[in-house]
Amino acid sequence: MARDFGVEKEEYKKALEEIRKNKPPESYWNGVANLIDQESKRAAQSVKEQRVDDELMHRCFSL
Amino acid sequence: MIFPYDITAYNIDVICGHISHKTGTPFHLVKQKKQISYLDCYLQSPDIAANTLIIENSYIEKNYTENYSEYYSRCFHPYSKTCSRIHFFNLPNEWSSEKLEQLLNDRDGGLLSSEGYSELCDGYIGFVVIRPIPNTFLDKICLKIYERLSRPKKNAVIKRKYDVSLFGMPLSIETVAFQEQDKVLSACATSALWSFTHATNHRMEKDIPSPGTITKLAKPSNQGHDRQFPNSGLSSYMIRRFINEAGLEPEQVSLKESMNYNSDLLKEYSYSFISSKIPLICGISVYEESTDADGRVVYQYKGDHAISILGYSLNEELDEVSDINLTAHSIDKIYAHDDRIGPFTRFIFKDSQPVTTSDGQDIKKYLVTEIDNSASSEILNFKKEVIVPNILILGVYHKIRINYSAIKSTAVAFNRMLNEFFQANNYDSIFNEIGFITDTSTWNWDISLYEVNDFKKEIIQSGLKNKAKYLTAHWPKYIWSIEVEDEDKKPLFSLCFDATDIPQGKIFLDVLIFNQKTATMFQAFSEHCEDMVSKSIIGMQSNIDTNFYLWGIINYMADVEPASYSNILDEQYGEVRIPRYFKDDEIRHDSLYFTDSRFSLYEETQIKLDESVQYLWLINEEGWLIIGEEKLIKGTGSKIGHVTLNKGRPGRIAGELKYQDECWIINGKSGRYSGNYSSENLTKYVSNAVEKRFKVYLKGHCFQAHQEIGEAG
Repeated sequence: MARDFGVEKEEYKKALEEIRKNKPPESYWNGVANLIDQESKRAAQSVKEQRVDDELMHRCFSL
Repeated sequence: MIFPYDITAYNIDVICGHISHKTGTPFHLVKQKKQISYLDCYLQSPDIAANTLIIENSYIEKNYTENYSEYYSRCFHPYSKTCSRIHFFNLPNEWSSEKLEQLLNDRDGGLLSSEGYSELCDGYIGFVVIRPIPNTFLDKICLKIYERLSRPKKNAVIKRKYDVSLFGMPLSIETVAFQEQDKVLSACATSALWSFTHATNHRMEKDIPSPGTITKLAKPSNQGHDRQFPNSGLSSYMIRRFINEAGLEPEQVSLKESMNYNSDLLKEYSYSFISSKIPLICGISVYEESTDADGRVVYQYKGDHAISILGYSLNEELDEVSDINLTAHSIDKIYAHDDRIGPFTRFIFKDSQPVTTSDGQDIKKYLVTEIDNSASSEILNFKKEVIVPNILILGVYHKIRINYSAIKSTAVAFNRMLNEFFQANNYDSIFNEIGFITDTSTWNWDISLYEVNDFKKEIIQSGLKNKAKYLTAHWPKYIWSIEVEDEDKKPLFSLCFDATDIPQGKIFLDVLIFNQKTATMFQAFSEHCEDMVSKSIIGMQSNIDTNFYLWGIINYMADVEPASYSNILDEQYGEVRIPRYFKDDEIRHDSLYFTDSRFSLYEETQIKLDESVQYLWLINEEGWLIIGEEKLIKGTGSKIGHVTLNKGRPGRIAGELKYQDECWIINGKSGRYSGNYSSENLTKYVSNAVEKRFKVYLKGHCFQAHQEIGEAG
């Protein structure tokens, strides 16, 4: 069951009803799956890029 | 014998003369020293405006004393073990020795309440300790921070309070201590680590190790074969070793991008950690301006250096970025203790004027230092330099286990997912109609690490609707927060993550929503997430991804966690609360009176209620229905209360049960238990008790809730 965020105003409830009536097509979810997959790979890449290499690890700060 | 102190109008030549005499450094070398020029500029800047100085001619400095015992005392040359200390003031009136002595000689004990003392306190700028060794003589320096750095929202700077005693008069200053490397017990990295340790503020000042001790703790290098002193610098490996020895967990991030560096990353880390009062060590490569054989300006690699980043300032304009508009990207300056220059050196981000190195490579992005030189430009001896940061090293409290990178990746992925959601079936037009702007390129994203107390202080000051829920929530010691504002800087929502969990844990804590339009968006989004979770097209592999926590948000929104029995009881009969009071008659010989005419029901029973009796009832912590006769306590005129029914323990909803017109009428009147709930909840809980407990456990009876359910209080 989805969370309840306590929407009270009638106007907003109507907007929610409208969204509920218009569910996205099945094909949409493939796009979402791809998006999550891409972002997961990008996050892993970003961790990799921030890793300190050996050269930097042993560089001496001495100025 | 030299007089104990001197007091005079601020004058850099007087300072240079004193240092030259104290350290044996030729006057011209003192005056030409870069750090002296910088200090003069700093002290004469309009924000600081030093006009008076007091020199304590003999002063024992802890750091130098330790270094002296470690090294200088064993040298052939008889170095002194006594430092001197120069105090700086901005005073409204001229002060003389006579005036100071008059103040110190006060015989009525009124020194600390005198106008003169108050003048010294108000005008105190800080001090510089001079160690008695040639050339590298600047020991501990504590100077007031520029006023311009104290403007909240636009700037952040780390500081701690230093108590100072000037001839017994207590003074104080808020700053972070700085000192120059002595090139014996410390090189630049040790000085940076010393300031870093002061800034981390997790230790009492007296427990902060001296530079010599820091260098020793960072060793050994090269498997212990390197010479310890004189020290020739520390590697990132050694810096991390010291951080570890200091009781913090070291983390490091590479900023390297070929000849350039990732300036966004430097800004992001500076923003997120400095606003959480966590300083950073930054390893930089320094290139100095020179000319090549053809007379062209080139930049010669000078070496690698370490500085401690302690502050930043924000520009009004955001840099153009590809993913999300992070507030961090609007940083245009960082402030760092650079021991080659001085405290709170200003570094400016440059990316529009590439420079060429002496070996022909282009540096497109770099930092340059900027110095207020309005006062004494003639003595400045600074060669132009460009600085390329290459590594960041942090020391974090051991409980901070979730790193910045995963939180930033979560923010980027969440933004993309929201955009995808807004565009599904033109939901954006529905949201825009109710006034919720779905163009996330206009939003500002702010990623910060908070200690829970600071986070709750922010909630207190916010315009959040149901603050009590968040303020009373049991939360971890450290929280990562992604705060999102609209283009008018009005808060929309904050995503909160447990910074102390294990990477594969349930990191996402909650979302704070600042207005009803945003709540509407999240309501629709959570139902969307529920649909998503139910779709088998999305593999569960991502659920254990530790590089970002998007799945934590999705699962939270879809509320996939099965509710525990305890949560269901809370929802149906109220959360468990202690009784609000005990009556004197309920305590007998220090023991709680306990009624024997009670029965506990947890399943259907054949018990028949006596229609001539009035009962009390209560739902206990385990969800049982407890019923007892409301009779007099033996030997008193008082009737038993709900407390005696429940042995004084915490309980849920409670009330009375009376037979009337062939039916048992149930209310929620209990001053001990029901008074904790709102009247709306009281009605709900009593109705649930009637339907799910009385009617189920005591079949064959007629039960109904009283129209006036109960009274709070």
